[in-house]
Amino acid sequence: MGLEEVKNIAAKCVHFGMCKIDFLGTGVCPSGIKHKYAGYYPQGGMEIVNALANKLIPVTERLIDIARSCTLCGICDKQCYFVTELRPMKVMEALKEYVEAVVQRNEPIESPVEDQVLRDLRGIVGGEWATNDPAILVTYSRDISPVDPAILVTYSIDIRPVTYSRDISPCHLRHMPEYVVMPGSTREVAEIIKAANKHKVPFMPRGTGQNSHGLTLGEGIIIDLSRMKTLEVDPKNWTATVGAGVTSFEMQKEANKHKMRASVAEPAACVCANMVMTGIYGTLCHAYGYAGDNYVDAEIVAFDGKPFRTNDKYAPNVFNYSLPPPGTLAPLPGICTQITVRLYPIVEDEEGILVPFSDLHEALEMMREIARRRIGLVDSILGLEYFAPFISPTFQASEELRRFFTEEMEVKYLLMVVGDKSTIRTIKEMADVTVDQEMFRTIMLGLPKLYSDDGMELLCQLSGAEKPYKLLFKEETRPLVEMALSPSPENIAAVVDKDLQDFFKKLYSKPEMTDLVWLNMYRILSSRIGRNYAYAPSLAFVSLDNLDKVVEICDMLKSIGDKYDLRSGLGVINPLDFGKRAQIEHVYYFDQTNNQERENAANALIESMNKVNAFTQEMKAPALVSIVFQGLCRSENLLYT
Amino acid sequence: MRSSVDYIVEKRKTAESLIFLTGGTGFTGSHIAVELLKRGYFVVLLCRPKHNLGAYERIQKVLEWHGLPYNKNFKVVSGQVDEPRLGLDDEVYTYLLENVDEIWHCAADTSFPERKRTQAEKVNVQGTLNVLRLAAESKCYLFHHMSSAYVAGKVHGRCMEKYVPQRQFYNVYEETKHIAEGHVLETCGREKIRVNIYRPSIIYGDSRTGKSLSFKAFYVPFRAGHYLKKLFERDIEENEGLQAEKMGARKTDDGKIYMPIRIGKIAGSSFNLVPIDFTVDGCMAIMENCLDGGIFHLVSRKPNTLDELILFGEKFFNATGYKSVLAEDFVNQPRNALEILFDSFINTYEPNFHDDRIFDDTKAGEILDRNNIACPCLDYEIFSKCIKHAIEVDWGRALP
Repeated sequence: MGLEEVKNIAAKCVHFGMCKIDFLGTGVCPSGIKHKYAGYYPQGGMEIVNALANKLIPVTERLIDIARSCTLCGICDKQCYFVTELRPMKVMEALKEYVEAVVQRNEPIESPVEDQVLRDLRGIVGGEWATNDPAILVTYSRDISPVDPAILVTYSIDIRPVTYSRDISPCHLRHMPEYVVMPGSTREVAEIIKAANKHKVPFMPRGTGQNSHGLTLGEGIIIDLSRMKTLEVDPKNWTATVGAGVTSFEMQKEANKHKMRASVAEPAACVCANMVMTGIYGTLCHAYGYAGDNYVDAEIVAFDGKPFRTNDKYAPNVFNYSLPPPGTLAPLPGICTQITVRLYPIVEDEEGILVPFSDLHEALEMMREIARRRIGLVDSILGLEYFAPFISPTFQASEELRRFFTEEMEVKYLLMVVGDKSTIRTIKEMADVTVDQEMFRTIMLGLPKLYSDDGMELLCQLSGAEKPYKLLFKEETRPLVEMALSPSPENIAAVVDKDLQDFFKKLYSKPEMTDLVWLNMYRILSSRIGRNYAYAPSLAFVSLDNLDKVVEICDMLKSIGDKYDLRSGLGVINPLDFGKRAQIEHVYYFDQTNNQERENAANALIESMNKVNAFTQEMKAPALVSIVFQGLCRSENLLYT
Repeated sequence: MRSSVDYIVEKRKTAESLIFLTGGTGFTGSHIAVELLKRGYFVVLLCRPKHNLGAYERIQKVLEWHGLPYNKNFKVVSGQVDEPRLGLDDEVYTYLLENVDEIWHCAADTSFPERKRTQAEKVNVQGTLNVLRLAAESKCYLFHHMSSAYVAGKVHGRCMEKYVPQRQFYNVYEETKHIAEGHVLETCGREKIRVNIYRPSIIYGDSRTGKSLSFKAFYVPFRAGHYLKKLFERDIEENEGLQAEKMGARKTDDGKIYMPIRIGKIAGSSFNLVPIDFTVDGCMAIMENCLDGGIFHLVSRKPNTLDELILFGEKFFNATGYKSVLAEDFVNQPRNALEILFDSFINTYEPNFHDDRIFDDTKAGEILDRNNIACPCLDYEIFSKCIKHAIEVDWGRALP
């Protein structure tokens, strides 16, 4: 297959970075593990092919090395298919073929010249860990954001303003950096900053580069922190101290060995970057808090190259929150190189449960009530735009499930609760009907039958005056649903590509793949947010005093999507601070290879930010965009200032 | 009146009269449309695109199902009743305003539950008002309105073939169809348009062939029984019947599947069921014989009892365990899981299961008798024909 044939696959990569963590027990791309640069991971391979097909980069020695270092082991196919249904192997095969043909034809191979900046960087980190090779640079040049952050803010790092290129290459927001450097220690980070200042070159730090709002792109030096993998759990003090390259997944796995867990963001995202960017928000925030609640100390290298710890008495104050002027972002406090986060003990009898709703107001009431009672670890409302893809192994299955839930069962929202047995008992008492852990497993492993079986549709028709889900999820009808769905790993594996069915069968035989506690703890399924589209989440902090207003904001966010002809929907609502506040995530989907849709998504995102700002100021809660780079502040400052 | 009876007769004879029909892909509407086409009328069918199919394709598919030979005597316009001006292009709407002679309004939403009120009101009330507006603004002289015997609402005993204002109903379908009838009579009265209102009871498939396009209402409990039986059989075969046992189901010594389901009834209640062939024949006879207008009940004179239907079902499906009981029975022994399921369904169709309304059909009877049209009683032979067909087409899922 030639590059032309696979470029459509390559262009669809949404940079979720799941190919960088071992979330399925398959291991991780050996080439990526060895060489560390993003370009050596499947995500980078996709980006390189995309760039080659669009004639953005030449063939270089590094590019040949990247292609040859891929062993076509197939791990990426399993991982990427699980998340997005893409098959990077085809892309890597095409890349290898292309490169060998170029070599065979004796075509010129470029080798970029080392300049003084690069020499200095290599002097700091060693020859291997700094480069200006376009094959590497291009893999740091893009994310899926439809909005160029320059539209939102001209962010100065006080040496010279970052100038964002307006030349958007086909289908991409691209900012080609000049250098990529991978420091291995805080000292090296400090030295890099000093070198950049000396040469007056702008720089931008990044973890795994999973940010979807263009905030880890830049045109000078990209400081890729993913080599900084120190990770130490202190079980006595319930903390974990992690380096800037440690991902949420890696930290959680280590914490779990000590029967503890942290509140984490997306599994492939780096903990330090996440904390600084917006603070870690997610379903566990209900119990574990938000922003400053989640860490006890952080090490930051300021932009003058001087490191400080947030706990130092005379350190710069990162704990306060200040609302940046409209259209701007707060300044980044520096580069966080290490953080000590809080861990929480896992109790033995934790379980998950879902409460289905067709009415958002009712769902919000129950969510708020649970938050006020201070019970449970997770208390979040999921919209079908999230729930359906999360639990479905393919896009088609997800679309069918969504249709079945909304049209046949009349379920539009699911309140997801995780807690101990007494919490689960309370939820069952509070709700008319629930989908407990056992039924959730039945649904997930019986998935294709749920929407294709004649009987399930029929059962919905039998529901008469009651909403169909109330009949379907009644305790008494459970044996019937179990009989109808006959849940099994074979069942769910039957919907994936034939050659992957055996793998998926084994995968879904693992109890954790259908365990709501595990799934919340690692957030593996939420990576499917970008399975078929690029996504632009719009976020808002709201007060839960007036639920009508919250519903109004959700409707408003949806209407903006409709206005721009975009698929969109409520993703998740998480309560914060025991029901005083909540965080709403509404998502706009777009085809990143379609310029018109990308433009529509940009407009929708900007309009939603402006409107959310207007709403949330009235409700005395900030819009999330204003929190960017202030994730280390005290949650009280952030939520009530 | 806008036109004399003689004029209508003459116009129909020339085969130039244009009939505008709504609900042409629906169960009753498509049967009426096909019958009109067979009788040589020129019909303009309103149809909305759905499931990636255009209006014309949808109509074509339905006409194919009916086995209608090649026919050029119709035209399809893409729109829907619940939109202003029926969602039609200006050009099409103007064409209809200028050419419509008669209107057959068959489009309806047949949802019963209260939670479907918005949808039912949109189609049955607003939709009817939209069609009436076309009738009023055009030169339409005869309006045929497909209604339901159940517009009678919450009453007991005899229901007459006339409009009786009513405020209490068993479900939103009855209510919205009743309101629609009021609008039809009011608009047609004011605009001097002749109006025929057809009120069939519960319609099922063709009594001669068993064929049907819709498997709702009458079919649903049998479909449920069929499905449950298959599930239990599979569980018994593959899983030693462990799940079936939890629901009290098992295989009897004589090979039947036993499903313990009690269905509540009221003494003396019955189901008024009419086959589609009778409904269409009745409508056509009334259309052609009654140009003065009127309201007509198309009902069975021999309604079926619940016990009869249970017997038919058990016999057909080789199942046992169903029984009809009086409400008190549930006090002594609470409902089991299967009964909760059936009960949920039955609650929706409450009026049909506990019906003691008797529909007077003097006016319709006069015309039907004269034309030798009689409603066949649903016996086991017709029942089995209908259910056999339903299973063949997988309760409608295998239909084109």
